Amino acid sequence: MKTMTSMMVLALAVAPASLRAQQKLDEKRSAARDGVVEIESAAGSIHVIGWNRAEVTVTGTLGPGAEGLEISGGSHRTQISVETDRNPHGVNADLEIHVPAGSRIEINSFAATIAVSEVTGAVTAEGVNSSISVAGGSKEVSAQTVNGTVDVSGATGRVHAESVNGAVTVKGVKGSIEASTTNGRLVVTGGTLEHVGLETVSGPIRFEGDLTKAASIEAQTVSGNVDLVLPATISADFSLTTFSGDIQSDFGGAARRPNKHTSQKELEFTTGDGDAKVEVQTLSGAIVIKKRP
Amino acid sequence: MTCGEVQELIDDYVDGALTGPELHEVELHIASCAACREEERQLRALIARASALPREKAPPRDLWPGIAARLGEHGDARARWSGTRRVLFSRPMGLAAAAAVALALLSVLVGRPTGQATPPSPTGSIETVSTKGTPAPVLAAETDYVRATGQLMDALSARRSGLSPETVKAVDDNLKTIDDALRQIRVALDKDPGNRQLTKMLASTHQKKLDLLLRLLKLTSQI
Repeated sequence: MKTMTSMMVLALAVAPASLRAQQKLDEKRSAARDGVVEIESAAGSIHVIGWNRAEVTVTGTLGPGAEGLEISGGSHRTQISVETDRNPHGVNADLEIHVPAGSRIEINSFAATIAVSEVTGAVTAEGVNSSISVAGGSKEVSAQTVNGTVDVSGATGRVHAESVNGAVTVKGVKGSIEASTTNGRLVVTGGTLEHVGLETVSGPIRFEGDLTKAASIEAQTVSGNVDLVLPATISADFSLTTFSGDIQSDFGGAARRPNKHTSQKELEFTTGDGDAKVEVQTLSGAIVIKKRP
Repeated sequence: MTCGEVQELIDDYVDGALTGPELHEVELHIASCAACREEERQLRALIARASALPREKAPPRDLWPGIAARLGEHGDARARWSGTRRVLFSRPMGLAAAAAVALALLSVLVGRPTGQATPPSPTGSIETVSTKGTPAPVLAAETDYVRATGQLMDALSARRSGLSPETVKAVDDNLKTIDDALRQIRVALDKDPGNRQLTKMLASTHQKKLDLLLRLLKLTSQI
């Protein structure tokens, strides 16, 4: 059957509250290897794991406040949601969801801890009071939360990682990164990158990775410090600007004021043929550029 | 018709776009439901406020495309959520109020009379904007940002009860961090008016605040 819609709502409405407090889940649906899996759950935990089977399984438990699990859609779009009829505070559902590794994953939660691993398709995860981690070779990742940490590792395409109140850590990405946080720590390590855009308001920024030949790094913060650890052989144009911070560079050069009427300090220089572009701006944060042997 | 079904249609109802049995059912429900009647009243009031604002051409600054795009994203999210009948989170207010606020924001940004660069009335957490030596275009852009964030703060305040105390604290702390940063940038701009990098930093920091508020509004609308 080309279009198959299956829907199942676990019939918990008539069950006594004591039974609803903990409900085991064990559901299975066939799914395309490159389909979309949408997951919505208010709170608790969501663990999505990619595997080599053409099916989606859901195991775990529905706790207090979780009224039921709904699975709908066809093989190319599977929608999984935990139903609740109340404010998400106090709701708990712990889900372990296996999906075909090539699936595109879309997760929306209010306060669940979100973890995605071994998925090679694109991953989008969004939460309010959620910590998000995405590990594995996802070809595109967008992870955004308000209050929680974001960790992304091993992605092979574009990464957008954002937290308002939490640390953002990106490791071993091959592609490009846009990452930001307000006052959390922003750290990018490893990988091979074509474009890196990093922004905080008061949080510190640290970058220690490899760049493609014509790569660009742009880092901006108001009061955070910026540490870039770059290959000693990098070929790049550097433009470093601060208004009341300090600038230090292992690559040489001394910061100067562009004119006597400003406290702004600038350091511009080129290494090699200037293939890549490194641009850093702070208001009061220090800028430190280090060589990596 | 349930409250949830009415929430899905209330925007169209207020816009006068409903006809036939749907219109009749919504009218019957609103006549007998105080909560939906109140939401209808608030929505009409917001739209009236937005309509009362002057309408002129959009200011030709970088500010506008970003905000317009984000409002577009907000609209997409609204369509996506309202397109499903599933009840994930209970939504006491639906998205109508958020849509109306977006409309008001749109009107504020599009409708600011050109040439006016006076500091706004403080509706958000920004107390004032600097005028000392600040170029008029920068001041005008900042005025728009402050007004926009003020509108969003107002909209968000109605939804704060849906957030946990720790999230509210985190949001407040971060808004304070952003406001402190804005003050620091303004002090630097006062010393070096017209500095393009400082201006860029000011705009991006305002944008960060706007992004935070838009995201919170979008996500809390699903509660």
